[in-house]
Amino acid sequence: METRWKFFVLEALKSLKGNFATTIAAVVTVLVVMFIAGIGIALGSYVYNYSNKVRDDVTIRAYLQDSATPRQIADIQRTITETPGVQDGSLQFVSKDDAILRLQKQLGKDSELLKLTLGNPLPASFEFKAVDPDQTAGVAKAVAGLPGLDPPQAGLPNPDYGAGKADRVLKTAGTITIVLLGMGVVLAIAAILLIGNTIRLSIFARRREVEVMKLVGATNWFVRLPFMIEGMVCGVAGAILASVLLAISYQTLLADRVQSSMTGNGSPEAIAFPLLVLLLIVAGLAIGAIGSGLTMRRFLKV
Amino acid sequence: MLKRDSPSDPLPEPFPVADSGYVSIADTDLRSEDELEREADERRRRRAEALSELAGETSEFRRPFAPRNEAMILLENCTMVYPGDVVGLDDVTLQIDKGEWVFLVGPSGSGKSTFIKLLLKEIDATNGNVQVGGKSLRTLKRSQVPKLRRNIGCVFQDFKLLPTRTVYENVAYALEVQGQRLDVIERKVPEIIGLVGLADKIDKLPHELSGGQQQRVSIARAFVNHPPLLICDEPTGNLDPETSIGIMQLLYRINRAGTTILMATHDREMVDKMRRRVIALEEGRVARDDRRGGYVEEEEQV
Repeated sequence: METRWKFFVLEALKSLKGNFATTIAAVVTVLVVMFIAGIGIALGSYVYNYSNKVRDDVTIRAYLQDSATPRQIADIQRTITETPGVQDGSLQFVSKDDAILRLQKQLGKDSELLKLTLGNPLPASFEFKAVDPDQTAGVAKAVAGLPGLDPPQAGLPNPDYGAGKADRVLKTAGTITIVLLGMGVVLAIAAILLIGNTIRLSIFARRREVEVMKLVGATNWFVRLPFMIEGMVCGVAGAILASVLLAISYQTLLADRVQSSMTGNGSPEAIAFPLLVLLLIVAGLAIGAIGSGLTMRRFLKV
Repeated sequence: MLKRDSPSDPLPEPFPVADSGYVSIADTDLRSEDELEREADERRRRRAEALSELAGETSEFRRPFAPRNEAMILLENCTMVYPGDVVGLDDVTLQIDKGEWVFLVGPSGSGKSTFIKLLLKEIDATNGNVQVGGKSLRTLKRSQVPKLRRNIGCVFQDFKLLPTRTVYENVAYALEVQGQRLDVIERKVPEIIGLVGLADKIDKLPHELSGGQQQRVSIARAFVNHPPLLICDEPTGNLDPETSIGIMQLLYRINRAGTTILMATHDREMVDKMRRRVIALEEGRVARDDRRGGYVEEEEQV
């Protein structure tokens, strides 16, 4: 069996070399499709993770009046913990000092803005999350209007959960996901058709050869396997080249900007690059094998 | 319906044979192509010689493998109608015995190719029964077709060699399709290539060879399995008369080693000289079946 596999692989390599132009055409086809697919997958996974993060991170903030008494604060805390739908352990008290520290961290120690402010203008707050992000509005409502909370003003709701913002992000992410999925489906179909067509050309050029093989008693699989291995080699080669191209374009075009705007832990990540490469290679293998295997069928009816 | 003389009727010997009685193709050193390409006079002289041998030789019938009256090929009321009501074969019944040499003659479109395609199960008869080697092709499973073809050597007018493979690889392919072991292939292939007189061309590609040499390669490929049946579809159709004689000598020796030979041909001279069984087809019917026939119907049988 081992020698047979060696035979098939050698046959495939021989014919790849012998039909160099077709090989290049097939590899480039896979390369282009895989490159676009790679961008799509990276983008899609980023949007997906980002929207998930936004969804999971919707935090309700109840801002306290500076004048709130400890008793009022205790009452507010109890009300929050007793409200059904509040995520256990998510409740956190952010004192005025914590708040200014956080701002310092975000803006940098030497921020002009902080130097200009007198004292600490930031209110203390309770931060908590709903168990189900979709119930955030309801949970926030249960806390609204308690004594000791800052009264809400126009544009400054209290409690604040960034009502519109999260919704908008989720909606946009949903749209992007659907668009990307649609693109992915179209791309996959295009890829299979393109690769199938390239392989068909290659097989068509050699259909006489296939006919002769069948006449001397080759089984369908015996004829088909080298072609399928050929397809897989083209698929993998295309996928690897696409990965290289993706890595290069990421490094030269995006790396710096992404680095600067997305520091801090917990910023959403796109799919890990090695995983993306693996995905592309597997897809390349599958498309190559299926594309040539299916295309072979009509030529094997001799 | 079938006009046939008794099988005991001696056949003429078209080619002089060493009088050891037993002749196998291995005993014979075949003339090389280079020799055939001598000066024109020499060629003409030798051709005349060879033809006179074919014509005059009537030595006693001595064959190591006489026809055994066992059917190699059996057609019973066989009809083949192509789509569009094109009749390929029309109610043909005939038997070809093991070890026989049969010429299949008739104008283009008379059904010769249909007959051959039926035997290889490239097509299935519309009606009637086709048997090869005692096996009915109607009930033969698709998956068994490669096995059938491995037992039928095929030689075609256009040689049907794999253009990107060397002489060695072309012949080896017929063994590789059966999953032959490498050491068997390495032993058998050079042996058979030597037998057809192409030992010095073993690493050449088909396009580097003359027509006659290519036909020798295709005979080597057809015969490397030592199939019981060799089908030749106008094997000399593309060759000049001198080269044809060489090819016919080769086939003749293969036949003497026991292989049944069915040869579709337009080579009137060869049929008339060799005086073998002639089956003439006309419009899909057997017009004539002579034990020792000529290319055309003759008033007085020899």
